[in-house]
Amino acid sequence: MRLRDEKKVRSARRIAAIGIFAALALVLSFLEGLLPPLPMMPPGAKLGLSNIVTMFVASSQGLLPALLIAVLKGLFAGVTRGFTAMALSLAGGVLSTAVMYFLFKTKKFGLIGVGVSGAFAHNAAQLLCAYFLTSKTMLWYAPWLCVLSAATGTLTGLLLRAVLPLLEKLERE
Amino acid sequence: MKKLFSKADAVLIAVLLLIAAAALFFRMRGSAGEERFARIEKDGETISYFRLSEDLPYREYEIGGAVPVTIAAENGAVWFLHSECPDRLCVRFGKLSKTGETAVCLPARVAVTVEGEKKAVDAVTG
Repeated sequence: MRLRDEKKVRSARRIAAIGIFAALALVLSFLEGLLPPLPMMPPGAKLGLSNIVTMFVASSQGLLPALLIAVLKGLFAGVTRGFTAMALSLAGGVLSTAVMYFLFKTKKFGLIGVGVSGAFAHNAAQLLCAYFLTSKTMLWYAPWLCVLSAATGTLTGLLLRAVLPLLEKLERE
Repeated sequence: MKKLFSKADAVLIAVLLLIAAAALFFRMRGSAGEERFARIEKDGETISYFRLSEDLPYREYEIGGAVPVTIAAENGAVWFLHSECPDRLCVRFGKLSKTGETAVCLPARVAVTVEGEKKAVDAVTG
């Protein structure tokens, strides 16, 4: 009896933690929208701050909770910015979360490497979406997206290292 | 505590940057001495293709659909003049004039690209 209660408490805690992290990801992507556009990069290029959250959840809670957050983010984009934004967000979010999870599993990559791979997967998925939705010429952006992923992914990795103690505390409580 | 940076990370970033540098280098080399054309696509199909000459008179293309857009061209450049989409990213791309430059409006499924074509005389060598 005692054991079962403990199990229930633990799973309730887990669900609550995932909810908090999902909210955090939404707030970060909203705040990011308020920043000025990145110089030298194609319009629409973003830092991907909310990737910090999916990255952390992928490493600490596992694949499914992280995917759940990516899907929630996509649905939120659908509600606030329309169908195209939702399709792009889902494609990028789901692929990058899966890539980050599997790279964490290999244990060969550091936070920066995982961040860069996640950013690259996110960009590549969105570029392919744009390719199929509009024009083959979208592939002209591919080299710039490589550069962009290296820069923003490194930033994501560094920021995650900086806020890691806070996120771990949030997870425990 | 997770490690921040590993050897694999360094290799990954180096490969990404090398690929980008190589692609950009070959693109720049290939585009010298070309005639430029503008291609306007909707839903992946070309709806207009015209030469971007330096003395091109001003013209506008109105493209209807769920999200209407207007594209303008003049003096060797082409650009999104107006769009009914929410974020107007396509308009922020600005004027396109170099080979390979692309602007796209995803909600409208419209893309504008500057393409190069080798001039016939370039084949003569001596």
